[in-house]
Amino acid sequence: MSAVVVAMFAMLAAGAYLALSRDLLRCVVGLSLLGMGVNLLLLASGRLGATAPPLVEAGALQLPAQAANPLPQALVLTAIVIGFALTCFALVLVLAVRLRVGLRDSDALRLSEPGEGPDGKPLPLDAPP
Amino acid sequence: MNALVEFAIVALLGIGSLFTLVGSYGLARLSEFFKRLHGPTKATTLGVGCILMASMAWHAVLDDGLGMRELLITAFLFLTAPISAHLMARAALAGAAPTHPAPPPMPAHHAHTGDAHAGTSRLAWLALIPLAVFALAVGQSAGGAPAWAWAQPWVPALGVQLALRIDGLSLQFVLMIAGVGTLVAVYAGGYMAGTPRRGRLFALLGVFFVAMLGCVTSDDLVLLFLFWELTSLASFLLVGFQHESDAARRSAHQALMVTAAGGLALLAGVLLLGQAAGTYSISGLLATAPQWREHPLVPAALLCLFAGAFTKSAQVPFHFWLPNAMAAPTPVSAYLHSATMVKLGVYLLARLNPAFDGLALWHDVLVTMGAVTAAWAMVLTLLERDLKRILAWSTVSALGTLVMLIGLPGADAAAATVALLMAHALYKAPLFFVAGNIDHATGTRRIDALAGLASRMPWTAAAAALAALSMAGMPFSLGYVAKELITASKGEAGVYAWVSHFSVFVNVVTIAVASVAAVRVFWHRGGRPVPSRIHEPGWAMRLPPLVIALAGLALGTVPGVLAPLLEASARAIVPELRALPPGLGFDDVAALRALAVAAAFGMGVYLAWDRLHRVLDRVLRRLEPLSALTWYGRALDAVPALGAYATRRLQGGRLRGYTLTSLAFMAAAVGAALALAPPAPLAWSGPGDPAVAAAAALVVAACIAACRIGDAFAMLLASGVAGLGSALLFVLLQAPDVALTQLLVEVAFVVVIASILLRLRALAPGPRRDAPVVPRLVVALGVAGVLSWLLLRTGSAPLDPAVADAMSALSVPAAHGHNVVNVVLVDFRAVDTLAEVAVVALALVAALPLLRLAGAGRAVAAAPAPLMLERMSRLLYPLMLAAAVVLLWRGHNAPGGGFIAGMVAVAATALASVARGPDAARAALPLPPLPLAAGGVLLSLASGLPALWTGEPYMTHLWATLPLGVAAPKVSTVLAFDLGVACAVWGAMGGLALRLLALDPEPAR
Repeated sequence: MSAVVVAMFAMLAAGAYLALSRDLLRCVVGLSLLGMGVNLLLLASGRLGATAPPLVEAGALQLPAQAANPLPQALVLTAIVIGFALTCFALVLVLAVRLRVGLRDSDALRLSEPGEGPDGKPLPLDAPP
Repeated sequence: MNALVEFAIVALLGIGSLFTLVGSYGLARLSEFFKRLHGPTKATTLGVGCILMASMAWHAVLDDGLGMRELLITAFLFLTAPISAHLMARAALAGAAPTHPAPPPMPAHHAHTGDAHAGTSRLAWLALIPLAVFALAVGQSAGGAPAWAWAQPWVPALGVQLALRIDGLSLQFVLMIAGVGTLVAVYAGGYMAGTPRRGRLFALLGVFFVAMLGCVTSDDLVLLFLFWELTSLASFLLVGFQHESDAARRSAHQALMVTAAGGLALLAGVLLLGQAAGTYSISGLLATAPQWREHPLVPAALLCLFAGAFTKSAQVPFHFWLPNAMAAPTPVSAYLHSATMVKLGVYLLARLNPAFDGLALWHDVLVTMGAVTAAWAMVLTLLERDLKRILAWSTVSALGTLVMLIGLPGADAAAATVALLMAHALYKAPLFFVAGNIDHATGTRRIDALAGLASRMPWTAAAAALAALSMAGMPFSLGYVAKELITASKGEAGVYAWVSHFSVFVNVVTIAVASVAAVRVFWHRGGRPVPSRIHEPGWAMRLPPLVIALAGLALGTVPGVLAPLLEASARAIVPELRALPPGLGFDDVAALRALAVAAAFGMGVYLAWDRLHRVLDRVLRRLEPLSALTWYGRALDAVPALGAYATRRLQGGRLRGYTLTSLAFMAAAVGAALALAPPAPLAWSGPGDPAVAAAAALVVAACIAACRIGDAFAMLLASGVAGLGSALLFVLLQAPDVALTQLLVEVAFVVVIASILLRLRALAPGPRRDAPVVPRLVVALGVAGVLSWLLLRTGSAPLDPAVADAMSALSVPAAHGHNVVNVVLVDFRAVDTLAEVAVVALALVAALPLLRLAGAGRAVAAAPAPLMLERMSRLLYPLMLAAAVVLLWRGHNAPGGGFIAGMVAVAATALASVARGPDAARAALPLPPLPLAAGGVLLSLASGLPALWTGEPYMTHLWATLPLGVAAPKVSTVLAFDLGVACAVWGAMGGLALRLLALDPEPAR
């Protein structure tokens, strides 16, 4: 358990840290790492310590006592695929932004934001840029 | 009874207001229809209506008591009063100019045209409605019948009833509302004559009238709250009636803010009280009070009820809105802000007094706040020069005295309360009428500019003098009776004896105010000539003040007439009351002496009024930054400032800001929940399996590297290594299917993103300076720490194995599968999986237009790949697809299945694309990506249909054995489902990968 918690901690911390970056590419990688950490959290919350996979042996009618909990595994499996789809989509977004704006700096994405006045307060939305 | 109930009630109120809106729209359309009627038809309709109402009133007077028929009539009046008021108002308006582009001036313009007898609006006939109700109420009170009640279930699930109940207290209020209402309608007919939009005023008065009647007759707290809010709304619209004036708009806004905020507090108090007592029925509450009085919610409920009552009745510190509400036309001030609405808070407290009598909190708060309000309002009176505002402050003071009397223990205080309620309504309303007449005739209400009006306005002067006598508490007036009872009630005050000092002061200033309103304005000459163009207004304005003031004096002379009513009313406040104290006479010499002393001091204050005013003005102007009004303004300014600040902080327009807020909030919320939960051990257990520890170490190292490395490509590699470590962990944790999936996803991700970066790197400079490290690090460590804590806490709790055991037991017998994970995916949770597959396919659909924007999808020359790679891919591609088929086929019984097979196929496509170019890889697909993905989803969707023919639920898989000799393979719709999953993943993810790999390195700008 302890080692798994440490690995999860590392993935979540690194994921959150990267997701908070200004670099959009880092954000995407952070998102993917966060997803991995949460997958591990899900799997581990179904309890660890099993010594056999959740496969019913030939001739047997149900799982052996030492088999792992199948439910979180099924949930995590689909979560991985969906996470991949999400990461790919985020990547497409980043690329679309990069190719249009020429940057991968999230602070530069201010097309729909009000400008800032000299006092640091936002200007009205219809103010000229 | 819980939060759900409260939510339901709030939703109910929301729906109620919606209905009200729709209803008013319907009314407006109805009146349009009415407007189109011919003149004679209109007159006939109105005439028949009036005759009907008059006959009902007559009938009620003849009958003693309320039978079924009267009840119906009352209900009819309740329902029709606002409608008919609106209709008649619109009808009358139809005769006036249809539109008013120019804002009309104040009604005082009559004075300057010399046209004081401008006549009376036809709308004054509307006074017949309150008159009918008044007659009904008089009939009821003459009969001395016991309280009648009527109830109809409204929301039985919540215990909310449409319940009405009229006992002594309600009846007294009904008499005051209807009696004063009749005269207000007559007066308004004169006051508003010739003013545009007067129909609107009458309609609003009608709405207010019904709301007030509803309030004082409701026997259900929720119903009472609804009517209470309706009176606040009517007050808002009436105060803001002269909406062209900025001051009127501001005052209306202020009155609404204060009373509506109090209304919300009242709602909270009502709900809390309902929770504590288990019922919303007022009579039920009072009957069962001893059982729930010690409930822990009661103090909170009481504080909320105080907030509601004190805002409505303008008690300190909410007192400031009432004088400002004097921006309303005078009939409104006389009716709402003196005689009726502001007494609702007093009514509520009096109504609930039997339940809370004896609670220290109840007595302490009411006596203290009431006494302070009564005295402080009198100080503020001395500051004013406007006659109406002077009267308003003295109203606040009277309300304070009423609240104080309710708080005083003993039955005498209840008798004093009801007597003062009656007396105040009978002397304050005429004084407001008088102020209105003066305003109407002279165009001003400033006492400095008014003098010696008695010669020009003798009728008004007489009414003022009569009302002032009662206000000052002179003998042979109702005011004297009230004052007598107040003095008696202090004998029982016990620990609250100190309040008598306050009331001596209040008495003195009251007498001075009465003198200002009557003597100074009318008889004090001040050495100035009175302009001869000033003269008395019409009869509609002359009579009402005189009638009410005379009634006050008459009832004071023979108080025995009122005694039964007041006794029944006081008994509703203090049930132990036997009979009124023998104070209803003039034999008490001590009281007369005290009155004489107070009168002497009062005359002193009157004579020194101007000097006191100057002194107080100087002192209090300096204290203004501390006043409640100033604090109200500050609070009002703080709301938008706070909103702007929060918006700037939370909506900074930067992605990392939003992410930071969301993650920090998540960590704080989960952390708080964990910290508040009962303590439990953490499942922290040694180093454990060395292989697991090694995989974890790999993950940790990769994660640190991903954060530290500046180069994008290396960072991606590090994240890939973390993914591989995670896959390794899954293997070691006995999750082979998950591990396979993770591995394939990682391969595909790294292949795709690495080849993109290799080609597009030059296009994409990262930000020169990244966001500050410290907050990012703090939040990241916080999120990870809190979730680790959560996991460790979860691990030590017992696991409920019911679901896992059921799946394990059913997997082979029911679903014919040995790989339980796959069985869960394709059978037990097949519909869920279907939705997830659809999401994967949607990712492609959503990405396509974005990619088109980015300029992708155009023909791109295949990048030259190493020959070796190209050759290998030609060999590997079919091999990988074959592996995918095998994984798919065996997935039900061994690691594998649709997702894994699909991801193997995606990896194959990505590899082919890197080696031979996107076009070649696309050509190698069985279908173009989008049809492939859509076909996969549809196949999965359809695989559940055959079950319907056999009568099983959707997505029950069917099994059959193919007659193929020895092998005799078992086939099933499960295979079709899994094939659909594989195709959907292949089409969607493969298509996305192909699009990404086909991105033009030099897009057209």
